[in-house]
Amino acid sequence: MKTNKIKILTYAFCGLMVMSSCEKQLDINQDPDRLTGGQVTEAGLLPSAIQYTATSFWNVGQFGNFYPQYLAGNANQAANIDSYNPYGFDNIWESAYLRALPTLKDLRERAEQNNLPHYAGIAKLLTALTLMQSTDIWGDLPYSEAFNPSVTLSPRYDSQEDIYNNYLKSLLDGAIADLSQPQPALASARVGTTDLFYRGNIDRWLRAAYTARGRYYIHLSKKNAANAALAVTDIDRGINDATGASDLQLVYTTERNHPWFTNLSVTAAASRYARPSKYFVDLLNGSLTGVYPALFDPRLPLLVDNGGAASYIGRPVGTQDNEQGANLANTDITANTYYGKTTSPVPILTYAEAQFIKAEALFSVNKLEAYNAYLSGIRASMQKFGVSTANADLYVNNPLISKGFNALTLSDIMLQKYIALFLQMETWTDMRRYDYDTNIYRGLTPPFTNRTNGAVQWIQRGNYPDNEPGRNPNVPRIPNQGVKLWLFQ
Amino acid sequence: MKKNLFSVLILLLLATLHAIGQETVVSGTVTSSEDGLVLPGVSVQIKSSGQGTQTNAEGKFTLRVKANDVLVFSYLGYVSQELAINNQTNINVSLKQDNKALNEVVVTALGVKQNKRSLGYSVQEITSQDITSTNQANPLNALKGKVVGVQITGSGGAAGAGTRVQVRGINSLSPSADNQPLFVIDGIPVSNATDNFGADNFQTPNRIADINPDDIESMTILKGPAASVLYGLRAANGAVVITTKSGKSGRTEVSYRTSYSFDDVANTPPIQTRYGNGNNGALASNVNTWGPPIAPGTAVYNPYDLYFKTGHQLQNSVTLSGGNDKANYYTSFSNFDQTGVTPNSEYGRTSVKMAGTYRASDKLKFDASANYVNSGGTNPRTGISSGAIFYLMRHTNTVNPADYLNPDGSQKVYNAAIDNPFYFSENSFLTDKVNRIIGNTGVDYSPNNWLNFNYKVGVDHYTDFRKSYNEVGLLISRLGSMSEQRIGYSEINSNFLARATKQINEDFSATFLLGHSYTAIKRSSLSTNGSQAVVPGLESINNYVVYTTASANPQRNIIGVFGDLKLAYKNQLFLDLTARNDWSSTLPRDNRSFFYPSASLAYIFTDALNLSKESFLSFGKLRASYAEVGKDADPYQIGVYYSTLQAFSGVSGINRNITFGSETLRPERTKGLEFGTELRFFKDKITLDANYAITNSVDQIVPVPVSYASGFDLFVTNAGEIRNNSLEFLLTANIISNKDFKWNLNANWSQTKGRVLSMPEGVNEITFNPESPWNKQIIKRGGRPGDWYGWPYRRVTDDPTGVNNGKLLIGNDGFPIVPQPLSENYLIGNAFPDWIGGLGSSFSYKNFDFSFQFNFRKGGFVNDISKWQRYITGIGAETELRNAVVVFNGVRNVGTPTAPQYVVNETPVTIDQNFYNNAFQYRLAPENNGFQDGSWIRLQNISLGYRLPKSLLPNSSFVKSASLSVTANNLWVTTPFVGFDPESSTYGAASNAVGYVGTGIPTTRNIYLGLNVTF
Repeated sequence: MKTNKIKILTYAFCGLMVMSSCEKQLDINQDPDRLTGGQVTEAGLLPSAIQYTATSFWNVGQFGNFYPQYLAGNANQAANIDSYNPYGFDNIWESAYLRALPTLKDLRERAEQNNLPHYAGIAKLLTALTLMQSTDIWGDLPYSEAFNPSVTLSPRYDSQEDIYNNYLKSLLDGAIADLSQPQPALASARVGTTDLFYRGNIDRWLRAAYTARGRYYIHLSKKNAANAALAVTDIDRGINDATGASDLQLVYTTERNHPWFTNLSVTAAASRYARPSKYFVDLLNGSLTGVYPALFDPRLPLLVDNGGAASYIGRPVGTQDNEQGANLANTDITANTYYGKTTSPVPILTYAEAQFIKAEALFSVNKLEAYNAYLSGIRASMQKFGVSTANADLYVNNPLISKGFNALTLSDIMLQKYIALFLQMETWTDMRRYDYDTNIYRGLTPPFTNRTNGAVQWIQRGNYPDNEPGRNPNVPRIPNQGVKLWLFQ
Repeated sequence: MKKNLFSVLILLLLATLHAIGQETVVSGTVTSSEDGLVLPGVSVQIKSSGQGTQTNAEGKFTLRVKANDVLVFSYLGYVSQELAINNQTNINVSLKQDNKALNEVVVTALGVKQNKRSLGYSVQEITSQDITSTNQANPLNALKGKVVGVQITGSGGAAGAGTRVQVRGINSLSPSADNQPLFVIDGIPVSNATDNFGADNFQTPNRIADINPDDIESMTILKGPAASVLYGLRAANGAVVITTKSGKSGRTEVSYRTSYSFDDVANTPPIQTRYGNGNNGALASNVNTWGPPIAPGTAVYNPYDLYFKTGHQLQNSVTLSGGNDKANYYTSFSNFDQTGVTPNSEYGRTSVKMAGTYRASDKLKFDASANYVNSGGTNPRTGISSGAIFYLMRHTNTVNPADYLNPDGSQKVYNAAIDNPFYFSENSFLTDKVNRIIGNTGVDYSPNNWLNFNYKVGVDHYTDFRKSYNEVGLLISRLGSMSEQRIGYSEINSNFLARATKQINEDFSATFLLGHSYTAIKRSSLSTNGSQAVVPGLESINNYVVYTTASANPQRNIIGVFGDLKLAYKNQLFLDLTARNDWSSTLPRDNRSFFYPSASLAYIFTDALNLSKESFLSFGKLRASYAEVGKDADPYQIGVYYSTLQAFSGVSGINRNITFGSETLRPERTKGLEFGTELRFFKDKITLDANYAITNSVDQIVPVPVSYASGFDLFVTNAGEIRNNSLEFLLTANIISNKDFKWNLNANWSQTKGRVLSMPEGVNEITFNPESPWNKQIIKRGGRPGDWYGWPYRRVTDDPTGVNNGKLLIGNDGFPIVPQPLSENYLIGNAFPDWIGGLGSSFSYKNFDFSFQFNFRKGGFVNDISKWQRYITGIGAETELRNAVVVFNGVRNVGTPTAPQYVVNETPVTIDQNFYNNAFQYRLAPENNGFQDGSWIRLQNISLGYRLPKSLLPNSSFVKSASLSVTANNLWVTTPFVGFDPESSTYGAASNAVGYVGTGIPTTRNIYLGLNVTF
């Protein structure tokens, strides 16, 4: 009776209005400018999954590149990160955890539901790559309970050991299995033009998945020596185009400019936050004491810009103003350099890296093959950066490089990998795997200033991002960034 | 019950057919006993039937009556009088003025005029004179310091800058929630939106600034939910009810008001002039002022003095009003023109208003009004990490910033890492152009003396065309960028009210009101952003290589049904019960209907106790109320959405949105409990109003920040509760009131304490705009909205002897200690003031009027974002102490942590650039990074006016009156805060994030010359 009364009252008053019914007036809460879940397709989600993945692979190095000493901080705030001021990789936390991984999960679930294994395989592969990079920064991370808001908004943190041994493994195995499936008969069900990486070439995807698993096994090669052999097997089935044409990378455009272009090249020289480090420049310039003496690497002028000066001088890491001759630095990342153009790529997996993985994996069991892989890694890197064949020959044929397989050292492999993977944060994982061993990374010195009062000798990890502790009570507490991750113990 | 409902409806239909009998005609004139002038608009009613009329412009009335009828004459502010006709045909009545303000009438919800005596909740009314005497172009700024319990904060000194109003405390956990009251003009809600353009980049106007202050007759501030329950959910934060002027019958009046101002920036951050441009003590190509000592004879510049100039505001307003017994009209035309205190800053407003009432019969009245406004301007971009003021505060002292152009017109700048503030202001700016129409029309029908029907429909429609331009080559836009935005807003409100008033018997009277309201709000925004300019200098959106567009079209409809029953007993005890049900389109279907009630009680105990009017306490009232208001969500908050993704290499895609909303969202509720008293002393000469209110906001609809690992950034759900306790006192005194000399005094004091009672599950804290990582506002359970967190210096707390407790603890390196680890934050203060107050007085002696208004604020810590910039760049006066050996005043622990033993610190340390720039332990401490007490005493307004005597007027038959005035706003401010005026707000009028200043255009000081003529 009471509700009846209210109803009558309502209708009576609604009748006063010039309108067909109250209900119609109230059923308007559907945004006309956005899509709902039912309107979403795998082909539509794929480009956003790819862009966020590539963004994550760039974001990690925006400031992270101070740690493997590719770059040195130039402006105040960045300079503090290069001398080990606390840093939480906040930007990749957003691009990887808020953007890339949940989009990939969405893509994967839709693809599995609609029986589209190629889309599912791509989603698993990109998830594995992003998650592997993330756990290499932070260690323990949410995964098993993550991206499932109807179950929990505060997912627990899985141990890095779990992430490596279970989740990454099954993602990579699953990606390979899915990408090995035949093409769907229906053309509209195939991965196609919205695939910004490979334009629907599933063979290339499958090879990238093997290379990714090779990277995974080499990370675990110290935990279990048998993994080195598994890495070699995967690399051999992986990316096989020495020209770099089938590298997994996103090439930016004149309309959507490469992030190094927008962050460094386009900025006024005085306010660029980072410059190539002295370690990197000296290494390629032949002026790093005891390493490649007087050997000029033809990749140097392609990777850094010295404005036409007679010499190449980098900026020492961890310095201010004119400390350690920081003010003498004359090299920059500009639009004239390989990674500083509007149309530069953000590499994720390259043929060159694969060759160095193979060289490292075979080093202790088959030096000759290791040596061959080492040389082909160098040549692939030269080719990728656009070194002329003549210049490449000149460099490779130098006895410091072509030293014969017997003389090959692990340091040779890792230093060449260091050069080939310029600005790629995979190098930071390599360095930590070798515990910043200066027998491997010859000539490497800690940052000039250490802002941790010596608590952290070599940086081992990222802090958890600033915005996570307030949102998730499960965040592990880490005393400082010097505490080694499980992977590197 | 059903039957009753039908009878109301039938009455509605039949009312027009109602007819009355007639026997004889009586006529007469009503005058005022005080001055003998005629009184138009006096209600003349036949006591037995309630039928009646009103006096016309000449104070005359004519009425058909029976010979033995009794007439009741009543008029606002006068004592009612009854007269038996006794066969007379001509009755002249002289009404006595009722000086006692107990019949003071205020406009409350839905524009209903109510006797203030009967209200069980607190309201405050500000009159036209209070508003126009300040010369403020934005009517909200005129309220500063005057309204108890209301915080009014200008966002700064940009031309046309918006102003934020907050009644009592913050009611929401959400940094972005609208905590401002609803604005209502003549019974119809209008928009007071502040449409941001980048949270910290521009101090965009609040839309009430479109209203011409000269059109306002009064502004009533309804503070608690009880006062505003009849406006429904949009008034959950209170309501500001504006009544505009209307024509008076019998008088055609033309008035003209003009004023011209001189505006400047009174307080700027102190700079040092001992060291010049350079770095590390040497001359170097650097932005900093860490160079060598300035050689004698070198020119030294204060960038602030050169950059800020005198701004001007010119206001012109003409109003024309009049009418007769059938109709009246009001029209106004006003123009406001402002040039700001910075380069490239201007704002203007032109407003035309027409309003009229037509009395078709004694029973039927129509009214309509339309107001057209054109407003807008240009202001330079500001911001916390780039922008005109940011560059200004980093600029060095040995380079002239005013010399900023090369001969070829390009920017001349002393270092490539900074833009010149002048050049930047002229080349990075926002232009907005608003066209707005506010109109309403209504009909009022009173079929008899106890029943009244009123219907009113109104529209508020505006478009805002905006253009933001960034020239090629600026640090923020090396390749140039621009965006053009078109905002459309339209709001339609329809209100129907039926009201019945009945004197039940000698002691009891009742008023019952039944109403329906319908609100439809549509907003649209289309923006096109262009980047990579084709050619420099072409301020057109056609000039770009890459474009993105974004469009949003939110809609919200609300339907409400409400009832209000008022009972009065012997005109001394009043009970008011209301109930309302709203249906909102923004909530899930099952939860979109919600009901909320209120009850209030007022008791005039002085009448009840028969206290003598001549006694010390001449009037006393107690009041109490309880009310609830529901609140809906913003449109399109429910569920998960996807958007289309900007094309990459020609491939478009679909993008997951990172905010999602609960499918079971419920309405939020604000519950208010209020107690108050109004006491008048010495024949009503002194009035004290005290009020205590507890407001609980429960089931808040909050975009809860969730772990990114959930796949989302924000989850919109019901969560959290905030309680605000407010204590308010208002004292007014008419100390002297005689023919030649009048002296009034008013004082107010209020305090609001907010407390977070619960937080969303799984969320420990919500951080508000952490612009400096060293100080941030965090909301936690048990905390208060506006709590600042940071890392204060450690102080001794455990000295066994006790003498050193409270002293700074100095480390072995000689520096103060900041607590570790830095992942722990410490409460260091609150952004909201402990209390605010106002003290004002007005005097008039013969033809002179003098008034002043002070505005007090105690406490409220403000984060001056510019302070650490002053430190790291070495321009701040604080850094003049450099390359010096100092000893920090404090103690060192030479014992153990468990058995401390404190000795006076004697360790010398060097204070140098590195110290100011990088020394962590120094810069972290709130004392050093711009965290300051924002208390103030402010002479908000001071005014001197002179009314020209009739003898001086050129043509006394033509000019009725004329006056001249000099007014100053912000003339004097005293504050412990070092820097710009702490009033301005970095995040503009739209944000809940208060307490950040320093990078916007600072608040100005104004002096106005005014002239007012009435014809």
